[in-house]
Amino acid sequence: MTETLLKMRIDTNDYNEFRDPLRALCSDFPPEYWRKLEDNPPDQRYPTDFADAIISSGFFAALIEEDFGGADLPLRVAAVILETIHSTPCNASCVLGQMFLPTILGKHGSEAQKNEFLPRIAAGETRFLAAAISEDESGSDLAAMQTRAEKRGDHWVINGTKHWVNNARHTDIMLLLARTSEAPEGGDPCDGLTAFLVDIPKARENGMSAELIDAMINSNSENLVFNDLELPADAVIGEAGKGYDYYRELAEIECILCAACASGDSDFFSEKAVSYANERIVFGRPISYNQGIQFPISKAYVEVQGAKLIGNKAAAIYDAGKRPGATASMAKHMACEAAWNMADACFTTHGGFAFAREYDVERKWRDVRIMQMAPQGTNMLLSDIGENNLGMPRSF
Amino acid sequence: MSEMTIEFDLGDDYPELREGVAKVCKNYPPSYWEHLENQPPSGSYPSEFVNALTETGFLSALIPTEYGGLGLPVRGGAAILETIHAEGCTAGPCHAQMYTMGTVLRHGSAEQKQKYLPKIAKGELRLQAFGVTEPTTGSDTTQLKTRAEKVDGGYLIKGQKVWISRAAHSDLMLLLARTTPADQVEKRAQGVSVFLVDMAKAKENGMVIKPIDAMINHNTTEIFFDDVWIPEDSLVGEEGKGFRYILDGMNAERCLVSSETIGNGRYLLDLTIKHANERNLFGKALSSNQAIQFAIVQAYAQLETADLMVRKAAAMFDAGMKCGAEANMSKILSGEAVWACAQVALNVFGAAGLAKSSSIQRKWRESRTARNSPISPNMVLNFVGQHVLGLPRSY
Repeated sequence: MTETLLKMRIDTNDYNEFRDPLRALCSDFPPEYWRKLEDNPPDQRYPTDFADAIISSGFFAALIEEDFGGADLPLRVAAVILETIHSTPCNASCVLGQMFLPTILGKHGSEAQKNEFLPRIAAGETRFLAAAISEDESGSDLAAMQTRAEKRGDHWVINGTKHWVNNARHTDIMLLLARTSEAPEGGDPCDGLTAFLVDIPKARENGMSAELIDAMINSNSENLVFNDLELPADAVIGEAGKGYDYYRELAEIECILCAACASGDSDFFSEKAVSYANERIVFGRPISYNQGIQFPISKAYVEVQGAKLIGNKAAAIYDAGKRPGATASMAKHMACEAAWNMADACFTTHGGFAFAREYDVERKWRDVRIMQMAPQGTNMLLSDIGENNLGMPRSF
Repeated sequence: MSEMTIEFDLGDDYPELREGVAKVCKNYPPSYWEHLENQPPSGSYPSEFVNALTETGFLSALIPTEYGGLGLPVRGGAAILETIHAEGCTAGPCHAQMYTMGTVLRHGSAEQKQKYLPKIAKGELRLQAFGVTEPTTGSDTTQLKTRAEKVDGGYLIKGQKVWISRAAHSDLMLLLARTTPADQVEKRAQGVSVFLVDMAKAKENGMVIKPIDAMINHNTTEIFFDDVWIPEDSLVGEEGKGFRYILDGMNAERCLVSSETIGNGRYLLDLTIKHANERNLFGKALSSNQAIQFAIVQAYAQLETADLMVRKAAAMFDAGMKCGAEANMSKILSGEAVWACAQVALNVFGAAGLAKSSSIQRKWRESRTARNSPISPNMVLNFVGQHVLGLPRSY
């Protein structure tokens, strides 16, 4: 049940050299900015100015190798960057992909792909914000995906539909997972899925259509339809048929980063809950004197501190050059549970004012609820841990 | 804040210690502990187990080598206690031998250290009792009523202590008593002193120990002092500073008992997963039901998380950093995690887990006590609210 001995380091300073400038950057995007976006029609809700500021800041080149113009920082630093953004009224889902999707190119891309894309991504000239994975009929069951890529001559032809592709209209390139061959009899049903790099402007003129989904909160998500979309042979990332393995690696990184986002949200909520509880006077004293108010805040805070440690652990495993596996799932699960409890404590502390948009509690609270389901749902995370860490059977 | 780094191992740290402890524990299977529970309170102390552990030297883990101990950091002690529990045994009857001496080590005189620590390290003297709690004060420690009145050549102790574990099996006890009346000190934490009491002599001088029969084998007692004389050199450190002395020790205690709780969680989960995978109902393994599997996984994730906080707290203690928040958080996280493990274990085993011969019900009861003692979760939440989050004192 335990891994070989790895060290975990914790600095009391905890990367303030990254946190301070990020907080300053985020302070240019106050709550009103985010509230106003929600008043816009669906196609104008993307936080363009915020995304521009973040991407041009260079922080999101953290995981790209120095040879390609990136900062080549540990995953732990990438997590700190996201945690810090989420501890403010801001939300990083509009740019999250830029942080981790390029790692698939770094690990599995050809030299030509790396040279063409990574320097431009690192410089913020090319955006890599979207991954087309989920489908209407399959969802988490990737082996059942219907989108096909067929080799015709020297190019691939894509047909199918993808759902819930975040930020598809705001990205230059996109990761696409499609089936290129049937899974071998008795083998891994996910064999035969292939990862492609899609040039979005070209694809829009060449057989890809998109439809925006109006959703509870600003996910800027789209349904994509591929109708004989032609991709060049060199759009394949790594080896054809191995896309699922690459996706799993990405998903582990994404889990660790999402855990950091959730922990940042927790920091936002605990600060907000504490200051409101200390200011709000009912029955002649601040409501924070009531254990009914104070204990849920303290309890959730303790859970958040635990969740942060398991997030650190997952990142430490990755930074030691190993696969975090189910520890990444645990990090995301625990961080989202803790964030949900912290959000709820903050919500209760604010009473009726929690519903008032000007307090930002309800907006962030919706953010946190989404993270319990996406990108990896709780049930899939628990199954991953049960099967891979605890040796229990697949239950579905 | 000054920049400091702590570092700790993930996984099975101190593998040689763990191996050695596990070897001893193998000789004390569930039937041994079941048998003890069938004895009257006075005969329920696991003497053979405690003797065996003492002989190996594991209980002297935290005593410096110059006094004959192993000279390990708190984390080393934690690994020992965790393993004892992960093997299905219980360190409760003897863990205090490991850490109660810390107060003597940190605050005792050179003579006291020379006189007691080598014998404690060898196991010739048992220092396993810690006399703090009283019937009317409990967690409100500074209000304790037991008095130590200075008389010629010593002190007269008057008062009562309760829930004093292992007092009947200990040669020495650390006792907290008020030396200056509460109305004559500025802060209520002042005027309280720590004494190292020779139990045999105190009994001769009138100290009375009565066992308390409890849900689980605590070997706990109540102790009555009716003007019991103890010699002057029983005082540890300076008079009136006892409260601060024991607070130092409490953080170490919280790290250590939290690691026992982690060990219990591992023991329960191992048994539960094995049973859930082997038990076949409705034509498939019990564990292929998500209601079972997900509950086990949730408990496991909580346990892994709590384990990290325990390691962090111990690393901070060992680095000489303030670790009150982390030690308290370890306590509450490990307590909640082990309770999740214990509940799912009982659910998975069903009636079989209730049998007296099953260690599931024994460990389930033990797990519940981890959520009450040695500190109440409410006091932990108070600590976090007041000292970490800046909320007011609510009690």
